[in-house]
Amino acid sequence: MRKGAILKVAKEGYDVRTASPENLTIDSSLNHFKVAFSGEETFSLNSSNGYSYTKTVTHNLGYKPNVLVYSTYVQLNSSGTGVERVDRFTMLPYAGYQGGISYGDKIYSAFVGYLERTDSQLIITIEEQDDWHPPFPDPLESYEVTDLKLFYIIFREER
Amino acid sequence: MSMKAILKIAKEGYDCLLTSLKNLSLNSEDLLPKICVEKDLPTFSGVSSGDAEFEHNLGYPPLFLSYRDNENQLPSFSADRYSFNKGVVIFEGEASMVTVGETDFKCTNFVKNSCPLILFLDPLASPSSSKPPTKSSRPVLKVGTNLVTNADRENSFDSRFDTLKVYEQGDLVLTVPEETITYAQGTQNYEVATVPHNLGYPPAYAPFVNFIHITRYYETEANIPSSFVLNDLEDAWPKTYSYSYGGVDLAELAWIEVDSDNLYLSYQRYVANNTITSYTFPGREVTLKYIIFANNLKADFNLLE
Repeated sequence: MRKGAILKVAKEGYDVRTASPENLTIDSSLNHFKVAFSGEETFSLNSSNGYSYTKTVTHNLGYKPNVLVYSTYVQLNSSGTGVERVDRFTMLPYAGYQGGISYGDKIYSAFVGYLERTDSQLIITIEEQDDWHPPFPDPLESYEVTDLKLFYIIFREER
Repeated sequence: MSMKAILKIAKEGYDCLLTSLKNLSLNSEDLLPKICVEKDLPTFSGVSSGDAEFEHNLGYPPLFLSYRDNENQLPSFSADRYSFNKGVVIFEGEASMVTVGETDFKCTNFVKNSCPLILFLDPLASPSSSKPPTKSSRPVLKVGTNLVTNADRENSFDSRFDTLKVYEQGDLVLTVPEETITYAQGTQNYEVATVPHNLGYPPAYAPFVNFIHITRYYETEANIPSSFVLNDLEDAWPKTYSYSYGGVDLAELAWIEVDSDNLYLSYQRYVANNTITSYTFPGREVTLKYIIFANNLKADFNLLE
């Protein structure tokens, strides 16, 4: 049996003395996910940065933490002639294609977002993976998408 | 000197005055993300795919976690099992758009029956306006810099809101034996390891992923090591995504699901190229660092009503 005080708060309509774990908003006998670091960034994808953006966050926690990363994203426009920014957030990692998608095709390019976690850093990359398939013309030879948003949370909790 | 009140509670066996921050179960100096909605969103039933939506009307895009039932999904095809919903994913066998805006959450997916959503009050982008704090008819424990004027989302701690509580955490190791698989056997070849949690409901879990295409990550079968930690692949699977889009000859994938009793790690291998009659896959040791939360994916909790 645990010694010492425990702080518990039940959801409305439940008795804290009998509520199951799912019906407690706070239960200090369990570890809670707590935010050690968070941040918000604005970035662009263009020819100057090679259509690639990287954000490195130093946390120095000494272990790989749990993280959540979200961003607005880029997609091919409806006419297929260029790209457009989508002002909604999705979670990283993500990957969206452009181009042919039948089995065996190569796609022209993909917009991807991915992470790398180390004991001291979180490295976030959002980029166009340009390719490679000469028979298909690439409609995205040159473009710029500005005012893309990124948000990250680094939890205190070890992964 | 700060006059702000601080609430700290240590994990069992530690002294909150002496221990490091990682050994505190609660610490109001770290923001505690505030869950305002836990809801199993209905989707169009009876069709192979459907959309799920939730109008939050917060005026800013909030933090979220999204799950889905697997009736229409590998590996179990069971409506009683749930997996995580990744963000924007469009590639072989999966098309998913899970996004949040200033007024709503949307999931366009292969979801068939239900799409559990965990929505937080905490913003993903700085809100342009601030709402006054809401009042409650029952006692509330709050910690913040100004409880009188600040919006609820600005407080580091507010006991009305649910939190992500770790029910169980550990390493699940799956030993996958060497085995010869023929092309004719198709894709239904699984090794499975489980963690019993016995919560009686499907819980939220981490890592926040449904499946990982191991071969795509390592680019070829030959590059897959004999021992690896799945979570390292979770982060970076799109890094080599488009370079293997044209398909792989041999496939190895890992899937994570939960139900009311267990967390499941399923490992699948198959021959994808019909010019390869059979292939002997080597043995592997696969480790999943998992977290099972106390939060119920079937809960009906909504502080925005």
